[in-house]
Amino acid sequence: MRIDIVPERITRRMRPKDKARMILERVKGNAILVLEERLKPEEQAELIKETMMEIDCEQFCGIEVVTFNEERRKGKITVVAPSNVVEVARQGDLISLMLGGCLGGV
Amino acid sequence: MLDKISRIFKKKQSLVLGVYGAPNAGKTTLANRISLDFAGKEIGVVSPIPHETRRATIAEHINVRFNGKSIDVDLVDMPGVASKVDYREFVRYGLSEEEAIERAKEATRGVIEAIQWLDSIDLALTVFDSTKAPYDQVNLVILGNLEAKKIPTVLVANKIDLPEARPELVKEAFPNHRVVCVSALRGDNIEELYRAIAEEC
Repeated sequence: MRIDIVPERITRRMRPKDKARMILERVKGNAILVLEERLKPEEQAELIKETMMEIDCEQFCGIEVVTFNEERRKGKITVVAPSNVVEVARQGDLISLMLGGCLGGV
Repeated sequence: MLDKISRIFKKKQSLVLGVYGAPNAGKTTLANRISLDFAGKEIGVVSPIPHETRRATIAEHINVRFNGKSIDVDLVDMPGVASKVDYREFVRYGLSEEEAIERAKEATRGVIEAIQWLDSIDLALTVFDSTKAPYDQVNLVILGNLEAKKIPTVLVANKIDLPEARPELVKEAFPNHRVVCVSALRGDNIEELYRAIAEEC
């Protein structure tokens, strides 16, 4: 497992589908991605659609996505991680990524 | 009842009403409640196993007539939106591995279908399970896309009949949205939801 930090200049001009493909390729390669941008809602929807097409029953069961408080429009980071090795817990504004995996969440 | 209905859909003559949310938020229970009230029949099957609704289920042309006015409602019960689907979760509910794998495949297609429906609805009910923390990323994605598409939505804090429900957390998490607390199962406060729908139309 590794952590890839992706600066905004790399993703700035990507179309949503291309961005989703780039993210998934890295996440399926066992990376936790830290994007220096908050993915737009339509980009997150595209990412979820692409994720659903990639899910298989053994190797890849989906992703965890974390952006900061959408209502308040703060924060410029998105974290995307494979759901079989990372579990997300939120308590108020505090977001915890627990390594080790949920294995089975839907 | 007629007076209640007469206030609903006061501006539009027809609309597509989508019921969105995470798996097991109570979407189908709510859709059944609405369909029972307006059409006298249920729309789908409810199950404790996540992703029971794996295709968008439509109750078409629920025709409401009152005070010389009528409205055609296409009520669409969406599959649960999720960013992950693991067949092993279904095995834990007692499904065979083969059944669970097939259910997982259908669930992934359902998620895509629910997202695609965002282009076709006029109004959304976004359903939350009040016994869980509201800040699920899926909920943020749904609300963000509805907002981006300028689709009005009413947030439904469901399952208030359960002792562990904390619907106030939904209100605190989304202060810019209208939140209605209901028990779709028992019908608690459902008239307040109809009032909210009417005001959003």
